[in-house]
Amino acid sequence: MLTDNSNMLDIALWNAFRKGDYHAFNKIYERYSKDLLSYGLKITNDIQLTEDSLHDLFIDLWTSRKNLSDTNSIKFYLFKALRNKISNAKTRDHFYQMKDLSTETANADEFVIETYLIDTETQNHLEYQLKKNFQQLSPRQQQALNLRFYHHFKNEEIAEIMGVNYQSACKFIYSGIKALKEAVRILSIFLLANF
Amino acid sequence: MNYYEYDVEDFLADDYFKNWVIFPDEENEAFWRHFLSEFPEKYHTIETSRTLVTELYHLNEKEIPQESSDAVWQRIDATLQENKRSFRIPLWFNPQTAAASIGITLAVGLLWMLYTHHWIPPLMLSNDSKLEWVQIVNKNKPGIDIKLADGSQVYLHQNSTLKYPKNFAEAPLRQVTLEGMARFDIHKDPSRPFLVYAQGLVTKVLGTSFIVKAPKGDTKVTVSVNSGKVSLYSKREESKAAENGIVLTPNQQAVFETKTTTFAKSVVDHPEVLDKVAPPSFYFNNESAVNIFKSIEQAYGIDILYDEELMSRCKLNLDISQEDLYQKLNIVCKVLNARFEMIDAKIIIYSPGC
Repeated sequence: MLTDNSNMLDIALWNAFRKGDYHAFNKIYERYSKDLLSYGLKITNDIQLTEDSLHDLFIDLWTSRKNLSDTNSIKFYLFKALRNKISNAKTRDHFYQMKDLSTETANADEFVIETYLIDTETQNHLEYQLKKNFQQLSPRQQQALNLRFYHHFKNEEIAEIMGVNYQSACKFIYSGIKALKEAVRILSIFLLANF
Repeated sequence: MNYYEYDVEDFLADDYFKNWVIFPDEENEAFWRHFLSEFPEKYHTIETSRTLVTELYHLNEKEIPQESSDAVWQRIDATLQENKRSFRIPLWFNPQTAAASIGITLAVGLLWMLYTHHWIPPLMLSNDSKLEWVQIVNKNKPGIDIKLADGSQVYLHQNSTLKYPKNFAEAPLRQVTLEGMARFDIHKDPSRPFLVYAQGLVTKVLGTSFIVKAPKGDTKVTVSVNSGKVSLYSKREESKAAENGIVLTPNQQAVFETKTTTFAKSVVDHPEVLDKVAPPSFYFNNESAVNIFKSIEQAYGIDILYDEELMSRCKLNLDISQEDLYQKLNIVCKVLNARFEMIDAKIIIYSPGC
């Protein structure tokens, strides 16, 4: 979460950058590039597209810096802009399908390989169960939960980043949590009893 | 807030609770400890919620290697250095770069050949006889780059002539005259407006950035604006510029009739959202038509006139993110059983209401 200090640094960096301070521009990149790459990968699974979009986003930022307005949250602004870049790139290229817009379920990736049988410990079991259930959520639910619990955005911000209205964003989060809850509740009670 | 009635999903949806789990501090620690001591029966719910918040954080952890981040920065840096070295000619051919342009891009074209007799000698422009004028004639090349003393750039098309003072230094105004067609990238200087005199039309820069263009082969001069503010007035009525001139804002254009010295204002053919880096969302869920029109108004900087009382009762579900302005309006109007008209660069909605 942004502490007051970090937020003030953000504002100072943003203002310096808008006045043409290249060093500040670089600092902004360093502060957020990893989060942005991580988020981009979540919605596309395509590292090349994510990197290209991040590159284009920062080129746009620098060339239009004088026309940018104040912002209270650089992170929020950048997330929203990156999602736009990616979604525009995908609109241009019909080979792409937006992961969170398509109906296909998320890739069954490394989580499946993790064998549940080997994990005898309850903590691992819990993690496994949660991952498994998480993968079964819709891409949009997954993305909303990712933005809320990993990137710590507020629900209003999540709505805007995802390009949906406030109620829909809340619904993604709420229904996602609900689906994860049941599996976890039983396990966690068991886990707690062990301590 | 009644935390006692909260279930797991309510706690997870609560920012205060989530912040306690991930960023505990003295204040929230005290609050939740107090809550638990008061309602020990909520212990399991709280613990399950805590576990979920922590696990969801770790679950989504995706470590991005530093090299990946560094590599992209090197590309960004290289692109920007490249741009600094070479003046980007096709600034306004690519709407995205043009909009992003820091400077001011201006393109004016006029039918000099047909209207030589209407030409007003450039020396009339300024009483300051000390100014040394430079004249550049481009006869053969498709276009040439000219750098003015104030840092502005001009791309002069074929069969065109530009006259400008060698040094603007002492002049209160930056004035140039153009015969033919050119595109300008004007260095910002609010204290000294930049004026282009062409075919009896004066184009004056007021704000940070603008685009003006006029097609060749017509008795009209057309000026259109992408961002920023531009004011236009007839050279003949310079003294009454305030009354008879017009101001164009983004997505507006004006056609100047050289003979009658009149303007017709309209919306540009391809309006674009003002904030191209992070365009606003056009996803509406049970939203009132009033708010939808307001969003469109704000996004494009174009006035929309409608009956607010009638429209406030209409609720719509729409996703019009991919459509351009006219398609957006067509869709909204179709749903509302309405129609729209463009008058004087404004959009007017006629609807029977809901």
